[in-house]
Amino acid sequence: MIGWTNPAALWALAIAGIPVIIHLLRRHRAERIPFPSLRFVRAAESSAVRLRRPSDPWLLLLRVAALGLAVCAIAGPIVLTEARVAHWNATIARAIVVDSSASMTVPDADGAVLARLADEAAQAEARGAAYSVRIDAANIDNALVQAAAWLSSSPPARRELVIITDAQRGSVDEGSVRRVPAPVGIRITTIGRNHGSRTIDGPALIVGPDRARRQVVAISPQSTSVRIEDTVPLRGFRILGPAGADAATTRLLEVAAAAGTIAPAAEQPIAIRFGPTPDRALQVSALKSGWMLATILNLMVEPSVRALAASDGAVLADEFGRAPWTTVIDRDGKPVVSAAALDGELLLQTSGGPDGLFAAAVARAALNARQTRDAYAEQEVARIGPATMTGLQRPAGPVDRDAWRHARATDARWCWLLALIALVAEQWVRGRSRDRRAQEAMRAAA
Amino acid sequence: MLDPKLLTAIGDLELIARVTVEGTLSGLHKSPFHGYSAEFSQYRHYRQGDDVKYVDWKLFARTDRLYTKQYRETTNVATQVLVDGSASMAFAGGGVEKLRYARLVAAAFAYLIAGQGDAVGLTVYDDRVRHYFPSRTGQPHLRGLLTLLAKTNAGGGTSAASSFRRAVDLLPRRGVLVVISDLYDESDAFEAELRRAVHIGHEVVIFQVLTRDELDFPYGTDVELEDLESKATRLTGAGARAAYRREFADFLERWHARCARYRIDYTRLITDQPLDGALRAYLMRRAGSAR
Repeated sequence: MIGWTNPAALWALAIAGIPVIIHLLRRHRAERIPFPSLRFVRAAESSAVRLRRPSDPWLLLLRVAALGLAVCAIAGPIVLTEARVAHWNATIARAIVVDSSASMTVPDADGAVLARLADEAAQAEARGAAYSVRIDAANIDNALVQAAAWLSSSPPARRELVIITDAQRGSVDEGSVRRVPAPVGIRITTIGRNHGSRTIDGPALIVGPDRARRQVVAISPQSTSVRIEDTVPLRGFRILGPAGADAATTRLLEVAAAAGTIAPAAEQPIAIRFGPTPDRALQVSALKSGWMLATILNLMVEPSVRALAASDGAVLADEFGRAPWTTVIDRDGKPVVSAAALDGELLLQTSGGPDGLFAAAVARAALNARQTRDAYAEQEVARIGPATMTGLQRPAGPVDRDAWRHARATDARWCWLLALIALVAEQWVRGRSRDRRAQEAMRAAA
Repeated sequence: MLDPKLLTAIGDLELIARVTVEGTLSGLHKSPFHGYSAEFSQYRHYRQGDDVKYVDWKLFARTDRLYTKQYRETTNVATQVLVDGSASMAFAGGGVEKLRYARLVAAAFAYLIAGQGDAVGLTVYDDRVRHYFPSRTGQPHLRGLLTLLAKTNAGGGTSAASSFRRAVDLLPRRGVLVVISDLYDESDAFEAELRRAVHIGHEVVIFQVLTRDELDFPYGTDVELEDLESKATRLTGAGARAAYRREFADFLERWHARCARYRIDYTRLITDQPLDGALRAYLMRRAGSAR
């Protein structure tokens, strides 16, 4: 069986008919000779359309063969022999997914850095494969999709996907491997030795207008517990504006405390200013820090902000729609919150007053923007169990029937070689014909 | 023998004419064209239609036979050479172009006639008179005629009748009309003009110039022939050769019969024949018939 990696090129086989077409055209186009008078010349239609043998059939054949072979070479032929398929089955195309999540950046229970272990393992896996690709990703699910896509177009070989990870529970599950098509084998290489338990500092929560409490999270394979520890002063949050701002700040923080809001941090200070018009005395600039952008993005997607803005009805002045301000719009497309940087502080200008629900929603969304749920997941100390691990893995299947479509090495070189031989032979035959004609002409002249 | 290809390669028509006439026609000094002039030439038997004023009555009285005196025209024979310059004369057929050959013939005749002190003129025609050079004597006139002849190129259709009539009418007296053509014009009008010219006393000499390819039709493979004059084309091939040869032979025979009928001197010239040989043969034949 012959497969073609570029079958569309076979349409160009029509080119091989060009010499034949030229021959046919030349056959029908009789030589035009001037003649004094046609009075005595009878038309001989039969001779004009009579099929004539090509003057040199070998020449015609060689030209057709050369063109046909060149087209076949471009079409990328692959002769599917058993030996070739066996060779493909003995070859491995491997996609190596390396877990680069935060948990891989810390030493394991033995003090070894997991990222380095993963790198060594990935290199070893790559050496054992004929074709390989390495995908580093914090989210293994996304990496599996990319790996499956690469494997689907990889050269013909047994296809295998290797996941190098610390195998934290939840990092890979059945839903993840379902994204990988069946013939692709899956192997999970677990690196490092897990910690028996881990204690981490959680985010501080606001418990009053002037204080917050630290959380300590203890994680073990069996349970996770949170302990509220000492109270710390609240810093990094203020309200700018008219008299009575302190009272407004207090009220807002009380509301935030009641809703379980993360405490502000001194290194990420937030200021809120109320009212539809700007304070031109403030020297504001465009948002630069990542945490500032994350905060304003959180405001944009926070449902309570958009919903309460509409009920408030207040709208910011047009000036907030221009640089350096970054604006959050309500459901009606009106600007309701605008953000800018104020000497390292994130300044939020809201359209409404400090006493409304909208103000509380903005303050809470801004403070909670720094909450990262993934941070807790990365602290998981439990690993995927052996039974689950076995269920997630499977051996690579044999090369499927259509794998040759992605072959990089085809048999085109043999076609090119034959086309070259045909061209050389054509030159030789042409030269021989020319010599013969010259000799005939000389004989005729003699 | 002078190879026509070699001759046509020489640009000097006067030189060619001189070489042709003086080099190869030596010994034929007498004018090939006989008239009734003062110089007695010979007796011949009276034929019905001969002018009775030339009957030698004294000889009749002695011999009881009617003889007519024939005179050699020694001077002032007005000759008009008519050269067919139509496009069909551009055909060469792998050899010498018919018009080039016709020019050589015309030049040789003009040189020969002028060299004897007779008047010679030239008419080049296609479907009309393209150039007319009146019949006069003298070397300057001959040189002018040859210059004009050398500039003649083939082109246009063929309609000889009107041109021939004009040449006849412009001859000042009875003279000689030398037509050099491939004679593809077989129209009744042309035939009528030839008949008229003979009837009013002119001598008409026709040289039919043809190529070997026109006679043999050597095209063995399929060809598309293009008529040089009408530009019409026709696909033909070896299958049409026999019919062509048959019809062409009929065409030649018709001209032969036509000329014989009107007592026109008809000579066929093939362009691969040496020119001097052809002319010599013609002139010797003519000299012989004149004796």
